[in-house]
Amino acid sequence: MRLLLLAFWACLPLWLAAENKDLPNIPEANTASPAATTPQVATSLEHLPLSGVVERTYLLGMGKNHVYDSYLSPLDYAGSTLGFTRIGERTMQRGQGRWSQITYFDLNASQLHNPVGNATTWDGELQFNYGQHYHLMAQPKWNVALGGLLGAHLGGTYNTRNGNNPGQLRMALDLAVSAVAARQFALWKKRWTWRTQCDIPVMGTFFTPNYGQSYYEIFILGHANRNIVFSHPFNAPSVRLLSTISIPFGTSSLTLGYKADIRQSTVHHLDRHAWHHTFLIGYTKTLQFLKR
Amino acid sequence: MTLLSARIQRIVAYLCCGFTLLMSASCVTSEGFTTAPRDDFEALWRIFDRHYCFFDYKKQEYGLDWNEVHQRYAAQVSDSMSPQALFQVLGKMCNELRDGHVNLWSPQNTARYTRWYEAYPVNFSDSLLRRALGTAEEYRLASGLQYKVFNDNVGYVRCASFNNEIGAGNLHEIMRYLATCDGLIVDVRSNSGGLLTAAQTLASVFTNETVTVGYISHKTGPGHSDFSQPQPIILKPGKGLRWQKPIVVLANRRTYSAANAFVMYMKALPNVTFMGDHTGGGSGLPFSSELPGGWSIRFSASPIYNTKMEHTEFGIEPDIRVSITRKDYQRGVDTILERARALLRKK
Repeated sequence: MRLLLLAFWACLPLWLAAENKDLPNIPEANTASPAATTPQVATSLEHLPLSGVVERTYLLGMGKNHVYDSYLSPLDYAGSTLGFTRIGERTMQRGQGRWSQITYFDLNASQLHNPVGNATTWDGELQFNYGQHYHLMAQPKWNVALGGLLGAHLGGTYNTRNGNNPGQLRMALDLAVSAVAARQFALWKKRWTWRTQCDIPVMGTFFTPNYGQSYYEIFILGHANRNIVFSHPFNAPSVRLLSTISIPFGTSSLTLGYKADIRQSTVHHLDRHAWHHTFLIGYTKTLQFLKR
Repeated sequence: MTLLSARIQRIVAYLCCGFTLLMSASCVTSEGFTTAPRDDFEALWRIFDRHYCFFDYKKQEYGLDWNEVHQRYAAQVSDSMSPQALFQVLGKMCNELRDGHVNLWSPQNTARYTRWYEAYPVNFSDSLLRRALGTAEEYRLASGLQYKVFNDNVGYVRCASFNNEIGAGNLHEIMRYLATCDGLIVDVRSNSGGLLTAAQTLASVFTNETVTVGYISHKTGPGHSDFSQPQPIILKPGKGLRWQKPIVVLANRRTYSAANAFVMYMKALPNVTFMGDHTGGGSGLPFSSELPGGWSIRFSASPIYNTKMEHTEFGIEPDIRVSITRKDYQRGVDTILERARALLRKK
């Protein structure tokens, strides 16, 4: 948690330091141009006119995962995690370009060990989120947006030592409140973009066995017992925070970032958490499609 | 800095503080055990206290009081004790549960309760089985099952373990080979169990109808009496050839766990006689866990009941109790097997 806060706040001084510097001149996109729908390379989603802008970010991540699942073990498991994240954002035509849609795809895998290091657990998750943001502030330097994301999650945890309870299957759908803040600032004669997105699930549904229920009972014998539960912040307090800095690099941007994906649940007297902290590196490509 | 962006900054700062406080208060965490011996003891006691499924039943059967056990054993544990001494104490505590499904594994030893079979005659012998089956050319082997037809036209299937799944196709061929027999002996003596699904697959060959053969429930909370409503275990008829004639199932004290469940399923079917010795029991579906110091444990987590909703944790009584006499051992005769053959010849 301390790392999370440090990383989050580390971005702010950079922005504050560049507060009063003018942004380097970059030609405005001419929407009256007779050019067809040829995409042009742009520098950032935030600067250009709010229409026809597509931004794709691809990130590889490496970091730490800390997992606790009382169905499998009373102990904390920790280890390294690798991941891939893809974010796609595009402005929409409605609301005079103040709406954007976002797709967020994430795949991660972790190898974890118990505190004494004599047991191994594997953890993996695939998630896909789709959402829309309304840009409250869409100025040359500042961008603040609020919206929502609908997410689907599929994953699992597998303990190599356990017998009839070797693993946990995770299947979930959730609806999250999403906030984005982005800031452009000039540093070393380049226009940098700081962007932070915070998603907090507020409702959803997920699969869970009951307290001492085996997967044999659920899937072989077909005995269900409140295995699909409604999730909310009090029984599944979770958050995803993604903070990135993009530095122009050729026709794209080099993107460095930090992601904290905190997923927790406490239901049927079963407690679980997965605290991912990942450092990210990748690139962002921004394209603008000009109108006829 | 404009007034508007200053306001935005304040809002962002407040949101971040609020978010930090919210996340700090909402953390779902473990109990934070250390690797000290006392924590190993407390963790072991608590894991059983919250997850073990036979406390109420065993309190009734032999007065087990888990809180009293905690008091008695806590006095024997100290943080300065060696791993070997700790293992001895924890192993003895595990044996208070009198459950063959309760084990504690350390690098040097495995704690196990064995009185469910060691206190009784074996009533099975590899040598006697070899005499009955003959050489490798005289019996068949498919999907882990040894089978043959005796010279009195009684079929015999030996199932030594349910550790592996039994193929439906293999069972079909076995039944085809034994189809002309007048009766069938299914021998699960000294079968220590394995997969419940394998036990169900074998039992499915002996029913033509979908039938309830038992019940299972699970814990819904950490209390000793927190259980779900028992749900039926349904046995569906196997898809291939099925046996239609009399059956004798042989079991002994070492018939345990999934093999005990197999005997329980078979007792719910018509035309079945259970002969031999009382089974060893083991009707709790075991779960695994571990101690902070790294030792792993196993314990019964889900109770399985027979069709009368009775526990079979301490075994199933045979319809006909037969033991192998010492004289028969010396003569190389498997008394239980011969009695089964005689019964089927009569039928």
